[in-house]
Amino acid sequence: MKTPRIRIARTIASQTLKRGSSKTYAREVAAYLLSEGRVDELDSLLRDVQADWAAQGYVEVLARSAHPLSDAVKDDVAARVRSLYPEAARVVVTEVLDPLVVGGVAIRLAEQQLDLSVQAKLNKFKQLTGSKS
Amino acid sequence: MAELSITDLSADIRAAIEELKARPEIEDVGVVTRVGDGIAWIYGLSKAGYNEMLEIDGLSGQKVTAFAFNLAQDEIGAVILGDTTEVRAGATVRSSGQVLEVPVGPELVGRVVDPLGNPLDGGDPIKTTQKSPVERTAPGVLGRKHVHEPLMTGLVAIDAMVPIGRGQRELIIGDRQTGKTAIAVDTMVNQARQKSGVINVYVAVGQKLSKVAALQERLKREGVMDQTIIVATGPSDPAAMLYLAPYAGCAMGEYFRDNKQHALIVYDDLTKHAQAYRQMSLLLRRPPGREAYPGDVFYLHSRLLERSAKLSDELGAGSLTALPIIETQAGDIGAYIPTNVISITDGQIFLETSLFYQGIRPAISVGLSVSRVGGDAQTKAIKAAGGGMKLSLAQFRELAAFSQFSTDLDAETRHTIERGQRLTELLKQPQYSPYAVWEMYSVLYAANNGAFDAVPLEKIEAAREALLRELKAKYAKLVEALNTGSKPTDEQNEQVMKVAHMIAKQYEIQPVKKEAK
Repeated sequence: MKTPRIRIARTIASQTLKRGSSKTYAREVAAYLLSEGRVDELDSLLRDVQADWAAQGYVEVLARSAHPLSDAVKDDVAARVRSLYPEAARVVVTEVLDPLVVGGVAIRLAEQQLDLSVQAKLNKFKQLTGSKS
Repeated sequence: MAELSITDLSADIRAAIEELKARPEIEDVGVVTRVGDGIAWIYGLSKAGYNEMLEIDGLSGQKVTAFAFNLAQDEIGAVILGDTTEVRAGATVRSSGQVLEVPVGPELVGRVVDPLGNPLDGGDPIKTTQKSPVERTAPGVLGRKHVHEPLMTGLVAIDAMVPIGRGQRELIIGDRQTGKTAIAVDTMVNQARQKSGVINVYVAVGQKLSKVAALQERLKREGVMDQTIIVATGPSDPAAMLYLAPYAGCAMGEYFRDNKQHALIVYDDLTKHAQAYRQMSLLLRRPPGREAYPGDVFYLHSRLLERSAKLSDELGAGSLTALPIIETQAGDIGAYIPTNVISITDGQIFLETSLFYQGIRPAISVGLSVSRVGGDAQTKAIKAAGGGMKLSLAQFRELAAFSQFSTDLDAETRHTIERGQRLTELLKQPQYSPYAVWEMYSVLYAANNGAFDAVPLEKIEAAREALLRELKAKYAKLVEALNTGSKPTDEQNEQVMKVAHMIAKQYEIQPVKKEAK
């Protein structure tokens, strides 16, 4: 029987948290996905892992921005996330540089996002003006 | 706790996948230990599954396809689909990890293909975007809906007395040369004439290829080929191809069923299919049962015919109607395969040799033919006109047989016999001329109400044609209204009767005045 994705994600989350590093474990996960023919599910699986980490007190937030973030901004992002997860043992802000964001920052958690980027604002503007014409 | 990042984890897993993919794979291989009669016995490949495609290294270097059919403890019996002369003992066999699949989709419509989807009509290669396994599970209980839409055959005798609904399985059974294929072909022709949008799939199991070619030519001429797929296997094809043909055709039909469309599939015929399966089973050393058929010969047909269904609204309300054909020997419908298929299907149309040679064509035996679900799908007009016809025809046949021994008949008996004789004449229908709903209704209504009672038997056919010509030429509105299939009004019925009486008068016997001595 096919193992449910949620159960695989739970195992990956607890194993990575226990080992502290994903490098060696990633190989085992890759081999499993290949042998089971479930490589296509990788993106969904990683989202589940991220949610599972958060449930176990390790909250990782991805902050996409066009330029490196200052410490003050990072602290601000961490504080906002901490208010969402008051019981989190640790909040880590991982920076992802993406020139498409243009300006501002887009914050992404496993199942939530806060898009404060210029790209999002421009898209919204385009949508509004487009719908009027 | 060390710092973990989902982006790092993602990048690490993706890199590991790429690295592992690039490595030379360890393959499962087996060896052919013996080969003969289209069967290869293979040692190894312990992980191969039932119906899995296997690739055998051929003598000239080409790959020969086979499929795993017997999974024994220490060897596999595989049925070879390609050139058997290419396979030798000692050849390496690889498993593909895939079950047998055939191309499906609208690209196949208008083509003649073999059971693997390869073109046989000399046309361009068929490029479909989808494939479907030949063996699929039939829709479950919740995925189905009761049969409620008519599938008009255009044959008055069938649509009035043994109606077929979309999603039904109606068996056509009879001896050789009794017009079984003709009924199926007429039904296909009618789908094009009535622009019903139903896609036809004709599966020829071990039919003479000249017959298939003639059929294709005829369907082209009738304009039916544009909505037809022919899956053809000839008598010289390996038994495995004959075995696969109905399943492959069914997979092709299921594509339309599952895409909110309606399809009709004709299996011509399942007797040859059972014989091909018997041949394979005996060669695979499976224990023979009754008439040397293997124990699972019922399942062979039940799992095939169960795939024909009317789907529920949630699944798109598509349908696949099946017309399996069974050939009997000397009219024996109690033989093994006929009884099996009779019990699987939702009714049968039984064709009799004696009727066929009496000129009653289609040679349908009214007493032995039945439709178990089609009544719900009958149009109101045909239901109204054809109701009670089966009973009166059966009574007529009984009385006619009895009256052969008696010269003195009472008026009522004579009337029943005469009406029956006229009805029988009216139900005769030449091939490739299916009727529209209005044509069926007008003829039946007029006959049931005695319009043709005074017309001599030999002129009945001419009178029927004259009635239809007259209605078509001068009563376009009435024709259009009757063709909708809804129950006709009294006024419409009166109009039909008025024209029928007028036509009948032209063909009636003029009373001869006897001179008094």
